[in-house]
Amino acid sequence: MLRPAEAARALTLAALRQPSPLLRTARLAALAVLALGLGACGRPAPPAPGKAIVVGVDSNPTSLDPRLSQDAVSWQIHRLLFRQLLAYGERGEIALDAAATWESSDLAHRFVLKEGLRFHDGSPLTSADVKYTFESIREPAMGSPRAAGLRELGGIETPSPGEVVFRLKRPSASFPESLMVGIVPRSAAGAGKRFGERPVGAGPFRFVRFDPDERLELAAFEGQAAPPAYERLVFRIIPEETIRVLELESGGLHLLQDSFSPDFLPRLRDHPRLRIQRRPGTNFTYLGFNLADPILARPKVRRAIALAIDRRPIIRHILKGLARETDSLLPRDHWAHAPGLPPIPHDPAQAMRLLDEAGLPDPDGPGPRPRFTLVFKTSQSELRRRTASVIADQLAKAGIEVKVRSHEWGTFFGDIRSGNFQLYSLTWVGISDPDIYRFVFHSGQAPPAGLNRGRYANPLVDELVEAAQRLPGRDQRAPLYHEVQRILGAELPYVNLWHTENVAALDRRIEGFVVYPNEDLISLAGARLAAEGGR
Amino acid sequence: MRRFLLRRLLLLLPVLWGVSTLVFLVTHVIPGDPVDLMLGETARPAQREEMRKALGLDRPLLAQYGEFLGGLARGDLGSSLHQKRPVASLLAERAPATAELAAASLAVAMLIALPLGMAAARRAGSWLDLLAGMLAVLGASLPVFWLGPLLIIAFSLGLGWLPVSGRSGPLSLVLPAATLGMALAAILMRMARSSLLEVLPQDYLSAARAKGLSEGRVLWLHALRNACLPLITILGIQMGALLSGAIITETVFAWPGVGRLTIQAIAARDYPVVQGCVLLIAGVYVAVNFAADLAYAWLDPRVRLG
Repeated sequence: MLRPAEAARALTLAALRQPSPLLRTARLAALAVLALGLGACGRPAPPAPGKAIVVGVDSNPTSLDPRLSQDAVSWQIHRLLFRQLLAYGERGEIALDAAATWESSDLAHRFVLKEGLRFHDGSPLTSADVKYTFESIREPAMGSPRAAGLRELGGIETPSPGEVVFRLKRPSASFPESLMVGIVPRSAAGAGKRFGERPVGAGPFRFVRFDPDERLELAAFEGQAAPPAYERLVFRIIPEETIRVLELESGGLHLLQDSFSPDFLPRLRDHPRLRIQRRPGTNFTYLGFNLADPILARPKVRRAIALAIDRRPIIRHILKGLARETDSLLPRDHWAHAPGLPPIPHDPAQAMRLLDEAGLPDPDGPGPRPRFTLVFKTSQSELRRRTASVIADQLAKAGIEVKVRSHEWGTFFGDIRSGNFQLYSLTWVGISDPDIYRFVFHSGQAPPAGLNRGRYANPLVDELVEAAQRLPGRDQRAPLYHEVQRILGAELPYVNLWHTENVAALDRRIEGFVVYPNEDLISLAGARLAAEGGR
Repeated sequence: MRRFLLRRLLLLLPVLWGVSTLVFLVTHVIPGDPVDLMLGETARPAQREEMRKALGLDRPLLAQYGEFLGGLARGDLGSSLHQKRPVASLLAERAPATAELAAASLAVAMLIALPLGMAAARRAGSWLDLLAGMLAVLGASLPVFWLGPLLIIAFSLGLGWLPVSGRSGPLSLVLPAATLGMALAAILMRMARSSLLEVLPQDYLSAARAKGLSEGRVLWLHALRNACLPLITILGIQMGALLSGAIITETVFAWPGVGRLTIQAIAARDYPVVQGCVLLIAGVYVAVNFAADLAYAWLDPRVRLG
């Protein structure tokens, strides 16, 4: 086979032999193309096989500065570049990361830092860096999306380089979650918002280079007690899921986590070089109602819709079993999940009775005319469109006509935020602290101030979620959240659909990788890529 | 000639002004708020306002438009709302990848279209002509998002000859260029065939043969040169399709060009980047058509510009 260099030479010689203007032009164009192509050869060579683990992701990280972005890909990379005081562990528990000890009271959290932690530039990680990180997040000029999580923070004290104390204005049970941000060095102040272009952290990997839309390359950070067992960790940015899967099958990637649709699962499971890891996740998918809509404001209509939806065939056929039906926003094994919530069975007959009672009779019985029509907005994700179509079909059997409208993400999100919808479906990602109920269902949290997109309002729920947020212990908080779940189960501002499973397809040679409930990739720090021919 | 150049260059100004105004209006009118997408849903109203002010989005649309036009006049496309970097440098980083892809696709299209179109014209009505016609229909009908993965399965997974995606060397250019070039090749082939069918019976070709020129030289130097004029017109027009096709091809093949930048900027409502990308694409389209006009005169001395 002709090598590129030989091809270039042959083409050049051929071009020089031809005197015709037309052919000369064509050959010059071909030469230009070849030159451009060869120009791409000057790009840095990928690391040698076996020395790097290559992970496929669907988008660029929005920012490599942990203070400036919250999207899933950025967060997964921040976890590998930076240390946090606290992090969610393998079983979803709050675990210490940069902190050696953590003491908390109603109005203070005191951390002693682990000894010997260093940033990638060699400087020690001290309490001053921790203080700088959180104070910079609160600076308006920083424009950090994480600032809202620090509303209860009164001040930060640094009694010694190894000790930091967070003082709160009022008790906040969810405050520790706000501390799960990568710690940046004080020197980041000089870089301002450009810190993310060459981030310096204290995590298991250090930044090497980032070519947007192509790849992000990290290297094992040797300045720590147990550095990763391989040299490079590469993230390849591949927007199309089919191409990500083909890259994984061809060996161009070693790992995909939650970035392929369930349709690909059987194919990947049967691939001889790959294996699948699954784990119950904390991502919650729901059907949301606009309670400002005159039809959907009626509780009987919402219950009828919930009764008319059969989640089992969707989970079985569309999600390929990668989800579990749920009766609550919280997973069943969550400490605040309410036991004994009354189930909502699939019962179209009861649904129709409720609609009759709600004053929405079927105008022509089994005829084609619907009781009423709703618009179901969704994003352009194929999985969501298919799910919406099945739900529309199920609701049609109860006499509800549903028009599915899929929109480009920005438009869809804008409509949901502005209340321009009747039905929609979305997923809450990485649910951990039940304080999410306050953000999602408190009447004071309607957009633009919060996440109560359906404009749900119940003074009792407001009271319960506020009280639960102020209580420090799980034992005290849990009964309040149980009550909230019972109220929501009765009033149905959402139809609880399912919790999805996290699933990774990975090269069989990767050892030590663990799927986390919140999609964290931190176990890559302790993973290794066995040699070819090994397991 | 100079007058022609000057007039065409002056005509560029209203075209680019029209495009930029349209893009500005469309980007600002479509639903979706960049501040929402940047700060998330839990940001306080004050923080939102702060961000809106910092980005200059708190001012009346007309004032924003005035500043946009002023920037354009100074050659300043503004800065990305999300990446905080000048749009010009973002475009400069991505344009080579798109130029590579477009040029290679064009080459692929020509390499397929000219020989096949010529063969089909010379043997009009034969099985070869029929086959070429079928290939043309197929090439024009296959969507990029389907053809791309099909070629990957065949040449990357099946034969292992070419990389699946990404921009990592000359070989990685082959599949995206073939995918993007296929539809253009189909159109050019049909056009080449019909143009050559008109040219081939002309007397001057018989004269060339009578002078002893080889059939190859007769076809490539004399027939094709005259048949090229409509091809150039089509090429200029199809450049728009090629550039818009590049947007999809870049997404399918994870090719880091202007197309992907445009898609991301639209999703993030990064107005200055969307405006910059569309202006660049429009500028290239206009420039290519301008070049096509010049090529006309070069290929056919009877055409006089002025």
